[in-house]
Amino acid sequence: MHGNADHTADVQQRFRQPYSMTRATARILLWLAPFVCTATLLILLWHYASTKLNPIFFPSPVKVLNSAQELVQGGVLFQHVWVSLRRILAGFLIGTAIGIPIGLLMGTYPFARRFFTPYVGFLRFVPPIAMIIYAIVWFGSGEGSKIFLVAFSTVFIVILNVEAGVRTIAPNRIRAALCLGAQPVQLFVYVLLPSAIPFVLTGMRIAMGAAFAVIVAAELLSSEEGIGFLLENSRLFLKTDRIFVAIVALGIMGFFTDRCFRLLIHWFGGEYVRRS
Amino acid sequence: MTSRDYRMSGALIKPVIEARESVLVVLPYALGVSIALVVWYFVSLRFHITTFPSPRDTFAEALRLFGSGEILGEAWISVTRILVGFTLASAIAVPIGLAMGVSEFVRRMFEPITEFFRFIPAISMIVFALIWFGVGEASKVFLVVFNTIFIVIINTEAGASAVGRNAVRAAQMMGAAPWQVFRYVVVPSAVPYVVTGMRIAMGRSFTTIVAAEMLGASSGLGFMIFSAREFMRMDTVLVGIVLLGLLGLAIDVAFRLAVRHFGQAYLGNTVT
Repeated sequence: MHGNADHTADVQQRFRQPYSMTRATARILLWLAPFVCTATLLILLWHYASTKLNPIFFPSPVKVLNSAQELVQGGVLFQHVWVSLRRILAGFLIGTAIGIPIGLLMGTYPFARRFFTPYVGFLRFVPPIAMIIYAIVWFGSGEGSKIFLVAFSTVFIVILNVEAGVRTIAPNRIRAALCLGAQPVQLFVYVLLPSAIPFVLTGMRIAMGAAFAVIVAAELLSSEEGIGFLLENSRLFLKTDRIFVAIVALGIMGFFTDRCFRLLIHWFGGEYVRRS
Repeated sequence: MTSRDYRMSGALIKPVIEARESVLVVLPYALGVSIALVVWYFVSLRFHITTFPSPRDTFAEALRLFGSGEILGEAWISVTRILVGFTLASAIAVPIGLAMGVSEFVRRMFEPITEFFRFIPAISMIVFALIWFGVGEASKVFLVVFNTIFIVIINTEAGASAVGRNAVRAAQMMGAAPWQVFRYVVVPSAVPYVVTGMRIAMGRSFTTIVAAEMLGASSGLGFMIFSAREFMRMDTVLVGIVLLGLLGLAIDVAFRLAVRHFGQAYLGNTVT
């Protein structure tokens, strides 16, 4: 495989055309063409649909853009985005801080696995939204209940992934470390932990997606601020253009947190991720 | 002890050892469950029933709800909504995902759409679902479809584009036409990814449907839970939550069994 790839690269190198600005531009344009086509088509379709339908049900792109400008300029949008992000981050950190040690324990000791399996196996199928009533009764309608819900949605995903990570370590790695005289602590720090890290990070990324869904629902149902509140409030006043803005803002938030997370994985965990 | 006695006791000892081993396996499970119950009981002593019902109250309420058959009706409504939306979305998503995985052009055409929409929680579409499709079944099914479709597309695409290059080359060497490569190489190797995507989507469908039923519905488990809250019937809420968990578990297990039964040839030893 490797030799083959080298050879291909070599051949390509030999027959490569002399570099030219126009060719490069043309290639980039060709690469971008499908993206641009779909995006334009989508917006045109949207515009067309909005002229045919009742604008209250389906606002036009121009109207949405206007109301986006309005919301951004007033600073309202960022206020809500910031509140939601803060809640997600707090719950996410708590959830991972609880999930990682339990997952490691479950992966390492059969006793711990059997002890925690009834909880994890059952609770992970409970939709976090169903817990919202208890969250409010226990933690009040303030920040506490939102953070609890995010932590609840995060913790089981992280536990399962960490456990899977520890359990899929090749036995030969452990044997090799033991042969070289590793103590249990060393085995844990130098073998188990590094091998589990890619799984931990994947679990955290998936959990982040779940956290977004939960926080929106929680804010829709009971909140005074946050992006979910913006959705609900706009609905009450039938400001559908604002709903569009809120949904797009959510998409962008999700996209950027995911990219940031990938970058962080690359910086801090790249060494471990590449090795596996 | 004579050797004869020893042999006799050997026959007896074996089941004893086996029993001891199985006790060691079962004990942690039992310990886990019973600690949960005990903690639940003692915590419930400190709170009023409207805050934290005791295990006994919850059990009595469960008996009442199951006895009248009321809860099963609601659960059936929720499950039907999920299954309809889920099937519809998978039927649309798998072909699109396969096309995206095979053709670079199609992939780039659809990618802006999938990459954008997959970060939008289905629940945030609820307002539009209600405005566009009304408060009936259609809006719930729409939300489940929205929730499922992008996850399945992305997973199918990943599966179709992660086909081993050597597998494709081998098929071509043996004279496979492009459609044969697709049918016999690409599709089978995408199956595990499709299944994984569907399982993730199924889990999330539960969250979506519960939220949707809480916000705008007059039937279903989510509605039952939310309306119980209005009367501070926290025991009913708890029964609903537990049933949701069990339903999710049951559907996941059923799905895994179905996949193992029908798709074992494709799965090999990869997942489930």
